[in-house]
Amino acid sequence: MMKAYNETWVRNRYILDQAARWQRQGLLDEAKMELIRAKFPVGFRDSNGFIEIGLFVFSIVAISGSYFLLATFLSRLFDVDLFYHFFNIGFGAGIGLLGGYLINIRRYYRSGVDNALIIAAVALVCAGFIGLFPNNLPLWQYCLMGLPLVLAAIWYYSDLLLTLAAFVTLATAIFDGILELSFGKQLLPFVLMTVSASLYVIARLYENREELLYWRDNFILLEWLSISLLLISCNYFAVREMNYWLLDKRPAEAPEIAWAGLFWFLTFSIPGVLFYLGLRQKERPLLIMSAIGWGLALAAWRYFHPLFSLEIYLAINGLSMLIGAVFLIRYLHVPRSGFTDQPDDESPKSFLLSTELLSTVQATSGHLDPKDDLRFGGGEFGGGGSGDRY
Amino acid sequence: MSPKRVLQALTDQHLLDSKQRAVIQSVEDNRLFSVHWELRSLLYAGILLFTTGTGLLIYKYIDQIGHDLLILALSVVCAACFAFAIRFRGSFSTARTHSRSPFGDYALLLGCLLFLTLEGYLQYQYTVFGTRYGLVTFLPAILFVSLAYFFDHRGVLAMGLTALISWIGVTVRPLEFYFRGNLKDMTVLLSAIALSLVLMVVAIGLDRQRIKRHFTITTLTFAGNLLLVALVAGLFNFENRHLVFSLALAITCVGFDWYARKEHSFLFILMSTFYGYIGVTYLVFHYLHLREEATYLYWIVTGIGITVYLSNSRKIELSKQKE
Repeated sequence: MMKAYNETWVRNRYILDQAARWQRQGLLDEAKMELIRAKFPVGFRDSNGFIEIGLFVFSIVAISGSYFLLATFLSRLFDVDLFYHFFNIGFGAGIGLLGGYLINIRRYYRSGVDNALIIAAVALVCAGFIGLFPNNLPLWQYCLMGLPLVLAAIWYYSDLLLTLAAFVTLATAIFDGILELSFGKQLLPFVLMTVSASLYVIARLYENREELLYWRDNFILLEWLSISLLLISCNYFAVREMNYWLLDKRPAEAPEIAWAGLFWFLTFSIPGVLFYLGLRQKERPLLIMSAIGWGLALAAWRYFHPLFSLEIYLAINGLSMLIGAVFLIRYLHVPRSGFTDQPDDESPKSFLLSTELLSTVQATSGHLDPKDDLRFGGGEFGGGGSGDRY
Repeated sequence: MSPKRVLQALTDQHLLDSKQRAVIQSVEDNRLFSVHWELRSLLYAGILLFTTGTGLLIYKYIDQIGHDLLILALSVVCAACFAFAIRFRGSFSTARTHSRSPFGDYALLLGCLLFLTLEGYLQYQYTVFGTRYGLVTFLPAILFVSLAYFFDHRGVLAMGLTALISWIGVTVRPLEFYFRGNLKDMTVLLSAIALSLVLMVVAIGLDRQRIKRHFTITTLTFAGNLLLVALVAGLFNFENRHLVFSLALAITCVGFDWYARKEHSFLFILMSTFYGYIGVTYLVFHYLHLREEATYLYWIVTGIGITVYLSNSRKIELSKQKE
């Protein structure tokens, strides 16, 4: 069936990306590259990250203006709720059609404008559709009503923000649904762990299928999201705090939870398992998230069993990370067991190397308060971006 | 799509002969997994945690630790970092250079952060700068900017520029759209504008002289943000100067737009669009007191207008590249 974007172009784009990587490695020459480009044409409009941000924001501004203007004109009709919900569905559908038209005419592919139109269309249709149901249903039921719509939109558009929305909707549905059960509070972490681990496995299995290439980025995003949820749902601190917030009467301090030992074990062992799997399978998301998971685990341990003060932990952990990184960089100077310290194409260097982005982030988030600086300024900077070459 | 499939697709189209295919296949089979950026991030995070931790530690136990000992320890580590950076510094050139050690850049960064701690400590304990508080930020600013050029380090340049901006009493954080410091004070505001103009002129001058051209964009981003924030703040805070600030903002936005097209840098188009839009929107709502419907209409017209304008910037760019 037809999708919103030209599937052949999406496929050709991956082929050209890979061929360009080989060209950079000196495996293909420019003449060959020209032939490949001719054979695998990509008709999408060229895009630039900064322009996309602007296009997204100002498209949302225009859509909001149209929505509120029309809603103001029709506001008298909205005394009947049903009209309002149908208005949302109708307006959303209209935005969706406009999106489809622009994608065809202007050959947009994740160019900001199309993302904004898709998000607005799906959000409005979902809001209108859910509004048609009685307004006293539990949250999880609304989530489950909206989810198929979002999933259908992902199928059609393969949009990444929608993927995030679908993931959050599912997690909310599970969270709210399980808590309705009498033993839900105890069950919840395990359900979340099972669901996130299953989603990760599914994403890994289907990520490289050629017939599912259209959704490859969505599967990769799902991998990152599901590992994040897994790490949170097994973390002792997160479980204990969640348990605390769900109590009807909250004591001054979060009480001990059932199966505390098990959760401590999971807090430390799951990042360990992820790290092992990451090393075995050479999977970047697993390796990076396992390191973050270890950080979270240590932070949780420090929170409940502090040996020293926070500053000492910061200094000691910073120093050990520093020493660890120096050791590994020296150790991997020569490739070992398939790992190397030499930079390559797959590393997220496009982000780290983008000096424009980096300096903007520094310029916009870095702060140095003159008053603080009279005392101690360590760590007050958003410094960064060191040399990019080994 | 796995590399294997891509290879198959290229072979199917007779774009690769069997020899080429075998070479690429063997390269792919023996490909190593690079953890270069992960390790750099770990190193960077370690430096930040360590310097934050030590900074806080000294702050907290200031009366319990022997001052001389502390100063000595900090100075030794700081000096060691700088010594390491100097030892492995690449030969000086106006073009881009690299440290001969993978750790040179990070040692410099650590040294600079520790220098800040040391300086702050000296000021707190011994008030070495007396009441000349400006000097406390001006000194690291000058030091860091010089070090950045000497060692070719954009991170340290960014730190130096941040210090320089905070020296005039302004903290720029447009992401929060919050003007810390004193942009309500005309003197500070004008100093901010003057500093940003000086920085921009110097950056463009050095770029013309082909001195560390990769620094140009960093400096221009800092100075440009400062200038635009200052002009927008002027518009917000000084009602009797609306005409001057509106004109200045308009000229700056047009200037950045022109520069962005010339240098093919879309960040500056985005910056001029956002700040320009904020300025125009403020003036429109300030003077026209739009009603509800007119407000929505304003969103529609401006939203569509800017979307079309931004889309076309891309087109101009492409046609230039083709030329």
